[in-house]
Amino acid sequence: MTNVLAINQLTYKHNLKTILKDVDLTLETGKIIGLLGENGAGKTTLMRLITGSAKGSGTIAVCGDSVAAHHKSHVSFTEQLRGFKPNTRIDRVANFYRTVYPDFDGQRFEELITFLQIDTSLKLGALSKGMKEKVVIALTLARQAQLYLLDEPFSGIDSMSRKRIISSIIKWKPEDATMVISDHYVSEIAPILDEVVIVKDQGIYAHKPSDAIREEFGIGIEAYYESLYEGGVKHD
Amino acid sequence: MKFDDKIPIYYQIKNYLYHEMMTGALKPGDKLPAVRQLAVDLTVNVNTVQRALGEMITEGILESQRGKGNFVTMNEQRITRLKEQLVMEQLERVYEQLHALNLTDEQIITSLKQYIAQRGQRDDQRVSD
Amino acid sequence: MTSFGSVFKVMSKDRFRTTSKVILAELAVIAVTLLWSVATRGVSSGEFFGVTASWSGPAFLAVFILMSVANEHVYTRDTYRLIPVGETKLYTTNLLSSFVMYLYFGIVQVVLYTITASIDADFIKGILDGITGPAYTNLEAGKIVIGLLLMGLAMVILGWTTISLVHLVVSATNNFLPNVSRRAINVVLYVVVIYLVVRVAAFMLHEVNNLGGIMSTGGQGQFILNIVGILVIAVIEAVINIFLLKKWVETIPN
Repeated sequence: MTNVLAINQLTYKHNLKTILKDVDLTLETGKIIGLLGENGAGKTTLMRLITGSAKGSGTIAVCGDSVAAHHKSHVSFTEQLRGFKPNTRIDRVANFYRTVYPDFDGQRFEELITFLQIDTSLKLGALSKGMKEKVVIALTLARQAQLYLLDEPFSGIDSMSRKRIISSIIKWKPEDATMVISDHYVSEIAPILDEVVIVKDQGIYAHKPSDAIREEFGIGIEAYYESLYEGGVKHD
Repeated sequence: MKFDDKIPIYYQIKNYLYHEMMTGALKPGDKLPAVRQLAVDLTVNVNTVQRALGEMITEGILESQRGKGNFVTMNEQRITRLKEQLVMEQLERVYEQLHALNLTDEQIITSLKQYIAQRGQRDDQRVSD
Repeated sequence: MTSFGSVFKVMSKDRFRTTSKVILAELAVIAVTLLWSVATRGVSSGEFFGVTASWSGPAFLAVFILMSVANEHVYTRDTYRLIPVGETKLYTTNLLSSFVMYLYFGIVQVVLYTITASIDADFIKGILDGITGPAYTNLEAGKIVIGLLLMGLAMVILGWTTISLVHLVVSATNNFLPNVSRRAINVVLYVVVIYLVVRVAAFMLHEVNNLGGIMSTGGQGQFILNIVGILVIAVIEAVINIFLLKKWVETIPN
């Protein structure tokens, strides 16, 4: 198996505070990975470092390429559409994406908005949090990228939308692409995760296949995750 | 389908498919849904489904036909053996738990018979209600 | 990688709309002013051109500010920073997009001037005839107008690169400073900003003085040199800006 992501000795400081220190992380292609950790642990920062939105020291190679500007064409990130005015219609946002991302697949996008029940004539400013997140997911998954980074796609979302988003992830993730989903609430996505990466204490605290956790410890992903905070499970 | 987070998902998928075969929802020779479809239906990862199916193919319960998909084996013998195996697994669990309560083998048989008799009566009552 | 054309297109769409809105607002204000005159005391001669020219100034300023807001917006928003292009292409396309919109606005103004000037042709001729001073040939007058235009456009570019420089320096330094004293640091940074703006203004004044000198002595070479000088400063600032974008400037987090 080849690696879609190889991070080496990544350190990130912000406002004189160390957020991540000497992080090494390698992700294989074709996986769904849960990026877990408390709020403020550095999950979003890690994703932003991969896209180049945040600047740290160390090397990050995406598909073997460590030039930051090149990452952008391989990585599809759930950016929150801050570059658009609130009165921008969703179909205009889609046109923007279609124009600037050569890998944006209009057909996929149509399927996604149908599946996620999105009305593209709505304006960004008029969307509920859940609807906005669905729009972001549709735009992110409509690209044919090698690495998808979904930053807390389920926060503040009702359970029906959550189920739809999870289904759309399973349906539309290209087979050889890897998807990283960050969340601080695990149970709902646990069944779809190949591996979990836990960010804690300024680094990658654990990186394990999820079925290995179940086999090795006989506990669920959520229990395992919580135990790391309570010091219940001995970690090697 | 609801998964128990404590048990490996591929294992639960296998059990689910075995169950479908035992109840006849999946008959010998039936074609399984495509891997991705199964993943969507069960809300699990494609890789996990692949792993479950892979193990079932190795066990000979499923047969993979290139370019066509996965089929339930037509080999009755294998299915019968699978059924026996599943029954044994369930019995093993019950046996071990009862054994842990310090019941002797005879006591286990007696209680089991008693239980089945009672259960039969109760179910009959429920039907007649 | 995304093509230059595609990036230019998405950057210019909104800016075109914004610029057009300013033009519409400008026309509306001019119309209202003229109607007010008609209603109160009647339009005096030269008023069409006068009103248009006097509203044109603030409109130029408005477009300049709106375009610089659009410029700066791009540098800290993931929506733009995640587009698969290098920082150099992103920066230059961004600047070019604003510049083209500024040209578009300028051309519309020239059209407005031409129309209103033809309405008030007699009046303007009267004023021009009344001016006493060195007599220019048409060629000389043309040269001066073109020179002024080029100088103005160069100033606009320098203005944008300077604003970006200040913004990006503040943004980059903010990453390295502790959260606690950020307020104090920002004050210091703003002082630097104001100092820079004053320096640029002084520079502009100096150029205007030069212009006076040119008008009396006809030193064309010196004038062109000054325009080139402005553009060189703009290029240096642009290079620093691109470097800052590459190395330090982060986007606003999710």
